[in-house]
Amino acid sequence: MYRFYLAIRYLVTRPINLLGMLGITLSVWALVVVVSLFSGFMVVIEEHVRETSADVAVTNLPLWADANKLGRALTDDPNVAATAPRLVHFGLLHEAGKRPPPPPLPGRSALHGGDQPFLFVYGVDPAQERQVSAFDAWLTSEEIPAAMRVADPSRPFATANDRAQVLVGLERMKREGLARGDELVLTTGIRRGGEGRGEFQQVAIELEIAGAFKTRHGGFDGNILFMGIGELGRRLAASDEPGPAEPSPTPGTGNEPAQGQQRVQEIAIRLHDPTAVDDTARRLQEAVFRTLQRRHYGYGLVETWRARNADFLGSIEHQRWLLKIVLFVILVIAAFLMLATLSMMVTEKTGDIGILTSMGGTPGGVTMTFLACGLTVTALGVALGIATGTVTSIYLEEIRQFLIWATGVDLFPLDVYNLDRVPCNIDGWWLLQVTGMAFGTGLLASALPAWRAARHDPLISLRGN
Amino acid sequence: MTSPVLTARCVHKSYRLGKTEIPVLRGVDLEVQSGEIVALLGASGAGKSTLLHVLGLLDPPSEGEILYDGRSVHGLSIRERARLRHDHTGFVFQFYHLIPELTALQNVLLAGMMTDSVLRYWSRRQEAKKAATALLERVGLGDRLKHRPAELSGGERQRVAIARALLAEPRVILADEPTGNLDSNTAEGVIELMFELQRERDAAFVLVTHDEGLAVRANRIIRLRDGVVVG
Amino acid sequence: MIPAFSPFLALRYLLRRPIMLIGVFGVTFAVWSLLVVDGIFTGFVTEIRADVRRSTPDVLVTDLPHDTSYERLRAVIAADPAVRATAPRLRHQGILQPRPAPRGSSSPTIGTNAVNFEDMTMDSGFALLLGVDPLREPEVTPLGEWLDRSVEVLHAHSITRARRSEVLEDPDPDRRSFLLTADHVEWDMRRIFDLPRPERVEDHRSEWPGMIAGWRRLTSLKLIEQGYPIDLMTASFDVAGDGSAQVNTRRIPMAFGGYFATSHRMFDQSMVLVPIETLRTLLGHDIEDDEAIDIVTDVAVAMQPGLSAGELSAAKSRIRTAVASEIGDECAVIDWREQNSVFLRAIAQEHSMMQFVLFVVMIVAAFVIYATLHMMVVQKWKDIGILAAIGGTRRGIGAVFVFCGLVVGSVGATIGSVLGWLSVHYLNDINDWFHRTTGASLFPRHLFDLPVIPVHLELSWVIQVALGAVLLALLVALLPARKAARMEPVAALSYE
Repeated sequence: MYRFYLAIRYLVTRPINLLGMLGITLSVWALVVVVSLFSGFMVVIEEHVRETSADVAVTNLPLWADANKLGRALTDDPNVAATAPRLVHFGLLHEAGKRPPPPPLPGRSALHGGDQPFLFVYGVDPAQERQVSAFDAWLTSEEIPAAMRVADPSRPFATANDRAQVLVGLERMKREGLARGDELVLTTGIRRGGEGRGEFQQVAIELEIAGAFKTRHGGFDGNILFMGIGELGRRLAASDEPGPAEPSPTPGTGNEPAQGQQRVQEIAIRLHDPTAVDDTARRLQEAVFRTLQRRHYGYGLVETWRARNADFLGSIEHQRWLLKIVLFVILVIAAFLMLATLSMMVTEKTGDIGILTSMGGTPGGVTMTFLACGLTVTALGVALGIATGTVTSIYLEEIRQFLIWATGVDLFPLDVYNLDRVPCNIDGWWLLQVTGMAFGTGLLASALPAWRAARHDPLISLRGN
Repeated sequence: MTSPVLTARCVHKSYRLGKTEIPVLRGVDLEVQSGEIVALLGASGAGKSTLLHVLGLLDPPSEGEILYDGRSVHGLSIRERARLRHDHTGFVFQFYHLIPELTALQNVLLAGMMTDSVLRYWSRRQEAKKAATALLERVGLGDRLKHRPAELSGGERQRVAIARALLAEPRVILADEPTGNLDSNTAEGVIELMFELQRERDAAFVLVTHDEGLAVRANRIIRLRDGVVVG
Repeated sequence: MIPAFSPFLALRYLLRRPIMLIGVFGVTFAVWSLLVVDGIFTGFVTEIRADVRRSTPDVLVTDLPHDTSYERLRAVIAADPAVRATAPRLRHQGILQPRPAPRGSSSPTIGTNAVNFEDMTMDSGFALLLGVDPLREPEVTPLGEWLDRSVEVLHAHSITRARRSEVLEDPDPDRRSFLLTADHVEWDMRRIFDLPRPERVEDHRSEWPGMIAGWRRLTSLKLIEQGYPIDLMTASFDVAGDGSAQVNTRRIPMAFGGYFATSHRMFDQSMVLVPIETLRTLLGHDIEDDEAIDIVTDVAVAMQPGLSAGELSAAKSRIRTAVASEIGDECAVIDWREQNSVFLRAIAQEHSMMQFVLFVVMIVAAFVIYATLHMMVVQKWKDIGILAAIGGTRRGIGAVFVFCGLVVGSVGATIGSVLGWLSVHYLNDINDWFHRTTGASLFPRHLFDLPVIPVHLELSWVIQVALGAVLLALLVALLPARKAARMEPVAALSYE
């Protein structure tokens, strides 16, 4: 008992020990705030990526693949909730009747594209697409002004004329001053004949804007167009097969997907249990290979959403790791601080050590007293650091606003990262890790002085005065 | 007749303890002539040490004034008072008050560094060292120059303290129970040494003690009781 | 004046007190980590900035209205005394598609679309076309260096077949301005692809304009062979009398003319250099047409060497005024920093985050010094009284502790600087050694795509950090020193 009693008394009567605590507090605070900010950034990006990616996708399907058969093979898997076919193409988008300015200079434009005339075109079947992604929510987002909204979200590509209907990202529409009903031209090319080996021919597809869509992924919105899958397939095929147009149902009516020759390049899949994504992806890969009966040219690859974005997510993860190392440096210096204050205390308290021993304290008890001092300091520092760090992290946006208001300095220019507020993610596991690290270093820093105290010859200190 | 080296005129000193004021000195008048040995005698708590600190300008009086060589030190700046403390008086304490990090020689030398700038001291460091060594030899510690206080006996420590007090050749030496912590044999030696040195240098000597036997060897005895001089 | 006893006593205190070593360690560690982290980070930033700089001309006159003629601008811009040379630029966009190989099946096809938003130009055929005049461009851009660099980079990626582009070496300026490949090369290609060609190679004259692609396009083009036919698909705009435009889809055959590398990632990913005349023709301004104008979207300007920042900005505004009055419209004149502002801002953002962390490191290190000095003052209570009794002034007593802080700070800063300098200097060796012994890598290179970790540590910065540390030590030492100086000597003497 006397150990803790004395430890507390020693601490309370020596305000300098607060400095050791302050050091720990500051380092824990920095560890929590900076990592929370960075993790928040990661989580936001991951969420954005996640929102716009299906759980699993079968990509690079060859033209000869039978999409229906493949779809059936996939839905046989117990974890597959829904599938949706997609046709992926690309092109240059221009407003009809207008000369566009030259493309933006690299470095002066948005970091992640979105302001280039080049886009990817997703041909989708709305009925099936809304089963695998938040397609409906993208069309009905609150942020879309009325003039840009899709007239009928259940049939976004329905049209009265012969122009193909297209959905454009909200930001792009705003930037270019587009509205529903505006006419666009998509310039692209496709290889004609012989399994992608023939002549590359230019194609111009006349489009009409059916409305805007809005996800939280700026890169996705800026670089994607949506069209009806049947319509896109037909337009790309038009000059290739001059005969009568395929007898496929009006795209986007929610009917059965197109028959036999329906072009499909990608199948997006939603899972019942997204946590089992890796195992499911492995099973699906086998199923795809079985169905295609061929296993070459990299056709029919099954990829999880994480794998598709692995490079990008990995590079941020690595940055976070480096940051953690740098932050750990602070903790080490805080340990120096504790080492200093506790060592001083031991030196000062040599007299007490003699008294304690003479009253029957053991070397172990003396050690424990000083160790308890160190641990108390650490515990207080960690508690305070985590508390202040968490609060700071939560109110980071408000603090940023305040600093902008007070000093005009923007600590975290959000527009660079396409965010609307400072992201923050307080991860319980990380807090635990920080606590562990802090206690580890705190223990090390107090062990040395404590050990010195225990080895102190009590007679010397009693004789000392 | 020349003016006394040290004069206290109607010195009052009180300390504040919480809300109450505790008077320690209540109108002390004192004159110390050059070359004179004065013993301040009194029971514990009579205000001997306080008077000594006031005389040595460590503590300003609440009322009254202190004169060095007939000149009032009242109204001097902190720096000037420090200078006077160094030039005019030398302290010897009961608990020696040596700096444990320094050797005997360094402790004595330290007194020589107090008022010189770094450059000035550097230019006369050999001289200062010679003077300090000579003083230590004079107090019988010629073979202990490199020893630190912890390696010296109590008597030896007090000799170092005496040497330190004398280095600046002060006019007055203020000694606060210099033998209070020593056994009688050692104490005798230290006292003998102090008196010898006092005669050699013709310095005034104010000796605080409660030892009657020691006091009678002084030229004059001043008794303090409850903060006033009683005889 | 500082009395002699202050430094004397300070040194004695320090030497007799191993605890002060902790303060020294603290400062050493802080300075070391500051230098190492900043050395690496600045290395990256410096490298990136150098890459950006390499890819960008000194000054670019841009945001010009449609159908601006180069000849008029050239005269106006070249008249400025600060301008050394100018070159026309025409920006456009298109989709590149190499012809499929006639035999075998390893040809890339555009049907396989990997959608990657972050590097959206990487795996697709999309290209920002930069029309340049190959005769004038070398005066404003280190084109030769770009080509040399591409060989280095590709070889570093084990693509040993890569050769330096030859299209800029043709002695005939007319052929060079279209980046034409040698006649026999094109004839060979036509033979392989079974395209129209004369009977004999001697009768053939190259027709396909060449293009030089950024080396990162290798992943989508998968080409090495110079002269390989590529289709360029793009849109042009026929302007009617009322100003409305008809979008026309165009396709022209071109020849692959090699790679360039500036190492500026965005630039190398997206840019393709094409002959400016080819682009002009595509956009309806054929050189053969007498009414055609030599349109540009930008003018790249090389400035006289050694201009100060003030002179540069003065020259920029002179050029802006002159060009604006010539074309009767607004335009922008931007230097390389302004052209890459978004990109550079993102880097600066990360840099400031890192500096914030390092700032906290320094603060905690300052705490260490404060704590040790404070404890020393407390322990030395009695000494302070003694010093006062033997005539020490307050300033002198305070100076003892300031000196302690100064010495701790100086020693720590010196050791830290030396260690930091050495660590940064041998960082790559350390990383190699670490990799060999543990198998793990502190700095995975594949992430940075660099052969070595770039480090950059300027002596002036080392000195700044060291001085900063000493100053900080001095500053925090003032507090305990003040406490010591204010001590009442009597209280100190009677303190037990």
